[in-house]
Amino acid sequence: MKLLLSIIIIFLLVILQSSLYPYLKICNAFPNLILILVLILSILKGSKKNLVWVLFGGFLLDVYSFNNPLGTSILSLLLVSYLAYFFSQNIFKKTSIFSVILIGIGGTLIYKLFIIFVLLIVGISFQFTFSQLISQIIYNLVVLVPLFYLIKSRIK
Amino acid sequence: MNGVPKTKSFLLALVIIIGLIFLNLPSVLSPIKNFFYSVSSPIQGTFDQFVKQTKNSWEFLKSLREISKENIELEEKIKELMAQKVELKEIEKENELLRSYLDLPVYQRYQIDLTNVIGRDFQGLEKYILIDKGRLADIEKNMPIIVFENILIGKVIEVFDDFSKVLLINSPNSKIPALIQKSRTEGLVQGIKTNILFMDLVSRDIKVEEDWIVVTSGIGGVFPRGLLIGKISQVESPENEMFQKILVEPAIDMDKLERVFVIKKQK
Repeated sequence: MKLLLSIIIIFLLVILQSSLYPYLKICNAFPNLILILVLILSILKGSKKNLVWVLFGGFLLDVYSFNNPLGTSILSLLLVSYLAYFFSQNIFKKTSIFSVILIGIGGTLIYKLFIIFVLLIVGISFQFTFSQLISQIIYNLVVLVPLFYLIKSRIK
Repeated sequence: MNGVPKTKSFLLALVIIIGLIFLNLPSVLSPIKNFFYSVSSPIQGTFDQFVKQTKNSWEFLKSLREISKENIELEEKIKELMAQKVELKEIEKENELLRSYLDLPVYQRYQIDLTNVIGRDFQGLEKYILIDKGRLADIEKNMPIIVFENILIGKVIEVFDDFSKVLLINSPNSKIPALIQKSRTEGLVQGIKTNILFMDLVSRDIKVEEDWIVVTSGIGGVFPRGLLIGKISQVESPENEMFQKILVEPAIDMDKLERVFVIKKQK
């Protein structure tokens, strides 16, 4: 039941992201809701518990992003999820706003760069600007930080 | 570490995903994608409608304050347009005469099909849209996509049963044989930024000015001749380069596409 609910939420979030993108984008960037939730769940619950978010969320991001070969976002989210959990458990012993921001910046950077890396290997051309990357990091942080504390308070 | 998946299953998942990326089998993936687009299409339509309505209400509230200022501006504009109307009447007559000698408009020359935009590339790494007609509606790869009567926005690059993926002209992957209408100079237009196109291969010794119109040249056979691409917004002629640097502003904002036409074939 919980799994089905997660799948429905992921599906709706991806469609919402696709609908809102043209209206709320800044420098071609819009908060990646799936990435944000994967980061939050990795910090709070560990990377094993959010596997459905990584697999189904990543799958849908690839299906609806049109450019990525299927599997690119899954792999990128898998890496980001593992690293977020590792850093939150081993480097930042106590979760603070500072550590959430750092994981948000690092997570977005690694996610984006990894996708670019895969596209380069597979030989698919793409558009990349630093302004878009910076805008994406800031936009993700604006959603990530309040959402992290909201979900944290609910989980408790 | 309890939160980390077991190494074996982790490695297995990794191998499957990497395999998926490199195999990238369109015949297998196409029906899966078509299924998800079919399921999401009505939900996305509802979301889109809601977002548009909210945006329109917000813009209406914002515009109330500016209405009186706009009124004065519009009155001025009316006077200006009245003068232009007279001039255009003359051009229209001339145009009708020339059209009878030359080509007919696109919608008379070609069979066109109206489709709805139901998805957009939201990862910001490329420029695609998804339209709600595909193979079953006789859509084929490379068919040009236009809005209004003749504004080019892209071409079909992947066809599913009920949907098609369109590569927009502002994508760096899009290369369109083009023509500067006034000077009849040919070149190649490609996307560089969100709403800026770059026209290449125009020699330095050819006169090019801002605001000149760029249309498709018809070379290559993919795009019919005379589709509007945009107008020239910037021209540079670096001394040490063979070609001019010409920036073209697309005739339409690619983010605001709702309904588009597919040019199917010659009548």
